Amino acid sequence: MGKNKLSRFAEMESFQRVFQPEVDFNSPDNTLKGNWHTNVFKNNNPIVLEVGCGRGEYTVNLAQRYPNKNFIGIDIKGARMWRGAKTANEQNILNAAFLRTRMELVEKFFGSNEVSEIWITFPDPQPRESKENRRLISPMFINRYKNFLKAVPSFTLKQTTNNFSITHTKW
Amino acid sequence: MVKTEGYHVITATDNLYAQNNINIDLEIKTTYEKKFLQQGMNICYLGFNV
Repeated sequence: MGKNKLSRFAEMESFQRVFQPEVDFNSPDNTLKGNWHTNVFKNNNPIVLEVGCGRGEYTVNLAQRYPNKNFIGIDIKGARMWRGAKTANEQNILNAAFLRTRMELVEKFFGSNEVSEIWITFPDPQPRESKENRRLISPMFINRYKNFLKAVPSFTLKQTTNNFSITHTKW
Repeated sequence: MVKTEGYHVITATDNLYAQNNINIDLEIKTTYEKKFLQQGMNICYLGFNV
């Protein structure tokens, strides 16, 4: 792994609202689950996720625009996430947080009715049919999201193709 | 997927920036989006409830 990545990972450890827990499929639910409002944001405002947040452009910008909502960027790519996390830390954006984990494990981090809205912007298309379950907009993932979304959750999706079918998502 | 799963579409467009009066939140651009726009690609947008 490059020195640059390692230094970014290390720097992220010092950011207050960045979480990089070591979790796998056999791990119990994380202590964050059901506790984002009380332990992280210290308020009861709605939580919005940016799934596959990359550099966290939406997490940071929306958090700045909507101080009465909480935003959490989730991705496994820490070197990219560092950019948004660093901005949020430097600008002391208290309603933005970042969670570095695999999306397959997301249910270990959010309790029932804990999330109000999900944004998905330019997800990895995973074009091979054999990897269709890895697509963040596949029914498998949507069903996972349902476990922690409120009764009438909303999704916002941006990408470069108008075919949102699980079998034809592409760049 | 949205149709087959019976989700409720709020808004859908296959060329976001050709629309009038788009939500300003949708004008936030990710790194990839900027690249795609430079390549002349259209940006699609879908908002839906499940």
